[in-house]
Amino acid sequence: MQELNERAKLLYRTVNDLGGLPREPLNLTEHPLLPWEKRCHALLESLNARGVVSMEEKRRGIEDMGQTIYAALTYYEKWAMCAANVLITKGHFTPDELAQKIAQVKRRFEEGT
Amino acid sequence: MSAFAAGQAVRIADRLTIGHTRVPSYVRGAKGTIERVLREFLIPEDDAFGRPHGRRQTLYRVRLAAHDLWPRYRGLASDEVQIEIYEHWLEPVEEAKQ
Repeated sequence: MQELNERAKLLYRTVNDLGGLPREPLNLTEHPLLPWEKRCHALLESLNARGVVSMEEKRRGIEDMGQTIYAALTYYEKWAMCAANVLITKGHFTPDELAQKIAQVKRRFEEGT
Repeated sequence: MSAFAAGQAVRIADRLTIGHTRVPSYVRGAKGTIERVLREFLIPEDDAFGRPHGRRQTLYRVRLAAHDLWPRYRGLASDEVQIEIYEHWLEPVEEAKQ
């Protein structure tokens, strides 16, 4: 790697570019996926197959989240968030439409129907 | 027509990028050899920004010695990383002169 000042180093690596950095040992045990995580995976695969959100667009969306959100969200939470961002950017729906839908689903969930 | 052939020595470009690439920082600037020539694909720099008909480049599998990447690596001397890198990130390396 080239000699870089501290600010340039921040640009040299995206938040998911972890190769070669010191880390805790990886947890290699399998964990079962939640139903919504399976649906999230299937939805993104389907959007990729139809050319709506490509794998690279999804990855770029994850890189653009910033360190705080990247570190805090779970794997499929990141997928869901960046899919929403890419779909908004491409004009498939708007932030206010998504906000209304989230509120509607939340209400339905709380009412248990 | 691809610029590099199997067995040729190459260096992965060491560039500071803004935006998406598929070249992780730990291989930037590393020297290796072409393991095989794959084929042309849409490059990630265009694919990631909604340009499915963007530029296409030849993709190569590149071999890198683990000891070159990580000087304190404790595995076998023959251990290597193979990574897929597009042509626009590869530079030719002069064969070592004795």
